[in-house]
Amino acid sequence: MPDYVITAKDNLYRRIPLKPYFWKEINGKKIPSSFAFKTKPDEDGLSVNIAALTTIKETILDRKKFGVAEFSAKVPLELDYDCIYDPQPDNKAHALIAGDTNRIAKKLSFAAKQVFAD
Amino acid sequence: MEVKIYYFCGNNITFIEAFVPKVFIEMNDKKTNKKYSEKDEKHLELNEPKVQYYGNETSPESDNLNPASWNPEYNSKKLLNIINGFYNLEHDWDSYGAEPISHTAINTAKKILEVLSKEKYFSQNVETNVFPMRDGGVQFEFDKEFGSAELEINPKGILTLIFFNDTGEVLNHKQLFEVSGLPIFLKEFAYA
Repeated sequence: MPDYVITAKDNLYRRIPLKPYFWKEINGKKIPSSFAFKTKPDEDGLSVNIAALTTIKETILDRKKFGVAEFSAKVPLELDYDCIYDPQPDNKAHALIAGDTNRIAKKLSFAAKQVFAD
Repeated sequence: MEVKIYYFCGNNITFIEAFVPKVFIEMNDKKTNKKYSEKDEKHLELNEPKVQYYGNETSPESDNLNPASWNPEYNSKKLLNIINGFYNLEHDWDSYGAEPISHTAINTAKKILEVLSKEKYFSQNVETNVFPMRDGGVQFEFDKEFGSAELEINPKGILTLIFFNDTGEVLNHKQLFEVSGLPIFLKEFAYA
C-alpha cells in the first residue's frame, strides 16, 4: 500500500468502550470524556484509524463492546501535532497522532462525534 | 477550623461553608516518599460507605429526563456505583492496552466523592462525571456552561486539577496534596 499523507480533510476514528459509558451531555451537546484521547506515559502517540481507508464496522471490532468516535484530522494538525500513517499487519488504516496527547485531549473530545455502524 | 465564604450573585447572597482540613490522603509521591501499604488499602476498603446500587451502569441519556438526576444524593450514589465498576476493568479494557484501575486511585476517588458530598458540592450548575483513565487512574470531570475542569487521580493517588475554557484550552493546572483543599477550588470554579 502506498504511503498515505493525512491532511486536514481526513476524518479519524477512535474506538471507544461502551462500558463504562463515556459520553456526557453538556449544554445539549453529546461529547465524550477526554480520557479516551489521552496517551499513557509509555505510548508514542494516540492510535486512530483513517476513515478513508477503513469502515466504522472494521474499526469497531466488536460492536457489543465498542463504539466509534469520529473527529477531523484538522484538529490535531492545527494544534501542531503530526498525524502519521502507521499501517499494521492487521490494520491497514492505522495512524498515530504523534506525541503526548494529554494537552489536546479535551479539544479532541469537543471535536468528536459518535458514529454508528449499520 | 471553619471557613465561611460568601458569594454575591445579583440580589442573592449564597452562603457556602467549607470545613478545613477534613480528610488527608497520604500519597505515594516523591515529596513524602510515603507508600500506600496493603494495610492502608484494606482499611480503606473496610470503611467503604454502604452503597445502594441502581442496577446496571448509569444510562446518561435517560438521566437528563429523570428529575432524580438533579438530586445530590442520587448523583453521589450514581457516581459511587460507577467508581465501584472500575474494579472490574481488566487489562486492555479499551482495546488499546489500557491498564486495570489501581485500587489506590479508586479509593482516593471514593474519598473525593465523600468530601464533595459532605460539602454539598453537587448542584445543578455543575455537571459531575467520573471515568477511568487509560493509565490506571481515575478522572473526575466538572462541566458548566462556560468552562470545565478535570481532576486526574493517577495510579498512585496523586491529584492534578486542570481548568479549561469553553473551547477546551488549558487555563491552569495545579497539583493537590490534600483532598480537603479540593472543594475550595471547585466552588470557586462553580461560581466564577
